[in-house]
Amino acid sequence: MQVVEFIERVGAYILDSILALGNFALFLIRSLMYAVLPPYKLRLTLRQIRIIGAESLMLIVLISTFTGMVLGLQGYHTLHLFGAEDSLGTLVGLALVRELGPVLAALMIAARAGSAMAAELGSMQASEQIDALTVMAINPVQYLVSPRMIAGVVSFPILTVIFNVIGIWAGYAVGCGLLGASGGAYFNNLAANMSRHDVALTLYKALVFGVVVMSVCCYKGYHAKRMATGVSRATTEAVVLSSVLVLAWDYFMGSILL
Amino acid sequence: MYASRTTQFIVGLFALLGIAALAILSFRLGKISILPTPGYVIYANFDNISGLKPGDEVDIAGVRIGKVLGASLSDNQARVAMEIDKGVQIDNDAIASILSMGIIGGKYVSIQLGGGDKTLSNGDIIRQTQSAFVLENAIGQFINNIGQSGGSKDSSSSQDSQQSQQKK
Amino acid sequence: MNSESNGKQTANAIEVRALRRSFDHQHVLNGVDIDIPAGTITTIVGPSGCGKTVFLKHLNLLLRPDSGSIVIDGVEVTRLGARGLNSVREKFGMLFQAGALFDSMSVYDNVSFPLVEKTRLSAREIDERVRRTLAAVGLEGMGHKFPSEMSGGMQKRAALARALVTQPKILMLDEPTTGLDPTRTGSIHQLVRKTQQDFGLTAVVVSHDVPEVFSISDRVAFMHRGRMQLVGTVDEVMSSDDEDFKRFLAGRASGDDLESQVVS
Ligand SMILES: Nc1ncnc2c1ncn2[C@@H]1O[C@H](COP(=O)(O)OP(=O)(O)O)[C@@H](O)[C@H]1O
Ligand SMILES: [Mg+2]
Repeated sequence: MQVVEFIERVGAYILDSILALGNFALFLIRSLMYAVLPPYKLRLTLRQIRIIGAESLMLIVLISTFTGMVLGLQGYHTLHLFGAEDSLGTLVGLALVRELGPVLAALMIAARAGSAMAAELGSMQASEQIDALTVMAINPVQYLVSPRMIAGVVSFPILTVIFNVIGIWAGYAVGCGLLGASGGAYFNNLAANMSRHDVALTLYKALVFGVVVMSVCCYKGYHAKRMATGVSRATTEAVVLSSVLVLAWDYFMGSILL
Repeated sequence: MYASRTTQFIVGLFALLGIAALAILSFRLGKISILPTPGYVIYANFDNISGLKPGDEVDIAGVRIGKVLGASLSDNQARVAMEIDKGVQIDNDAIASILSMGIIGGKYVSIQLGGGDKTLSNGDIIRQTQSAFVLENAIGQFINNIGQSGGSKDSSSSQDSQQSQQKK
Repeated sequence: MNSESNGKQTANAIEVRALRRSFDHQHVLNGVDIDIPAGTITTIVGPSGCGKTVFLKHLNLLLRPDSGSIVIDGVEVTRLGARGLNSVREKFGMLFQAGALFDSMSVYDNVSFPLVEKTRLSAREIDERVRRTLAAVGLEGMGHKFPSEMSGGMQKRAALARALVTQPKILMLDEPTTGLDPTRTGSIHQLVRKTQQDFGLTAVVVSHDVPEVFSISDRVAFMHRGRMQLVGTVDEVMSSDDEDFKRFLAGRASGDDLESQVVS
């Protein structure tokens, strides 16, 4: 009996997961489709770029500064063991551009803007505001989700590139300013080793992470349960799931593209 | 609820900042050129380029004068294409060697100017080359020499084996 | 009680047949049949939790039925695709039980929202209509406030203004007067009646203000155990000897401290 029950439960869980994945895929496709189809929600999109992108700038500046400083410090001490301090620029720059810039920027935006978005959409769902849009014959996905997706696709690459540039300068400041690596070698080696593929990779990753984080956070908020704990659950799940997906997807893309 | 002038201004500023950062990353930090580069391309054949990659530095006396474009196989040798900055003159007796930056650092091509009477131009080949120093090979050679001659005159031979100066 | 008797002179705006819907094995709608004649006010009463809100949400297909049919203006809507649905929904104005105002927008923006999004009216016309509607629900000069800054009753009236402002063909009001004081209740009732007469629209009102709401109702439906147990004109329903309805009226009236007005 217990064995059968257990197998049933596993089966139900798997079916639920497949269903949820299918629903999510549909949601993602619809939100992307409405993003490219008119009527365009330009004002709403601008507002979301301001909220998701511009207002995350200070956080990104802060995090990228410390990340670059830590890379400069640890990179210098490690490379120093091999007498390869001249490669510090390459180490810091490529680590940032290829991995840390897109990933850390995405995690920070998920924590800051993604959570707020899930909470906002969740409370709109809980108080029937989304239903109110529907009965006005306004498509809530097009009105609420698509502008946020576009805003993510625009904001993530911008913030990521800013993250990279500030991180590289912060690594320079610590490695060359404080610790005595050669400043000229720092930038020369970086320039020699960073190709347009690296810049394209950073933009590409940021773009994909933008879609991942925005769609997960919107989906979780949009489908929040109409209970007291529904909104807080949705918010937590949105941040956790989008962070996990960013890291998993980053490894996945890295193993395919490099 | 509508995008105010402030929002438009902030978003505009944000976008410009992003474009500026991208420009710095690409052209200042990455030195990636979008225009056709005004340099010229020369070739050099090596027995072994072990780890030299496109984008690696080409220098004369430690000064960067160009970069490696790529390598292909030709007559069982590696033919390396290098883009040399405009205005840099390399004569036909120059020697190109592949060197390492530190023990684990990347490889680069160093060019030693000779006393040749002609200047290389686009598509020309540097005749004299010196291949990459491959640590594993050197160690293998060293052990061989010890085995054969009791380790008496190994110091010079390990050097010679790496120097395959060739004239075609 | 026989709804077909009225259908001769007026076509039905809404015809519902054998509508069923259950949530997790709970049969909320258990075979609902009702005709709602065009140009009338039909009031649905019934105990809390009997499925009135669920029924309203089926009419504009916010919820989909398990089985049964809904015909709006002669069109079967239960199997419509997205485009057809939108054209049906554009006929409806709906006041949600909890208001469902957009809390990121001021009251003025809430009320102008459906006009801005769904009509081609000029900015001046929109402004004029929004002000007129806000004044009608007693919220003149309150346009700049946000929903969170207003009492529940004011939110309800703002939401009513949003439902009225598009002058829909069919108006659905889910408890428009719950939480309002008696004076406000009366004036909202009069507003609904006046709007209905001015535009000849069809209104479906869910209300607990029994029997006051009957004064503006053409027809009354008593919902019980997932069906429309009684449907008819006010007089027909009030003179019915249905035990459940009598018990409901008595409970409702005593609960609201209105024994004097009980008709029994
Ligand atoms: N989305 C839903 N999921 C599950 N049960 C629901 C849902 N909506 C309503 N119900 C149930 O349906 C019943 C009728 O609810 P409702 O129509 O809101 O009652 P009322 O007549 O007071 O408006 C209630 O028991 C409620 O629990
Ligand atoms: Mg209700």
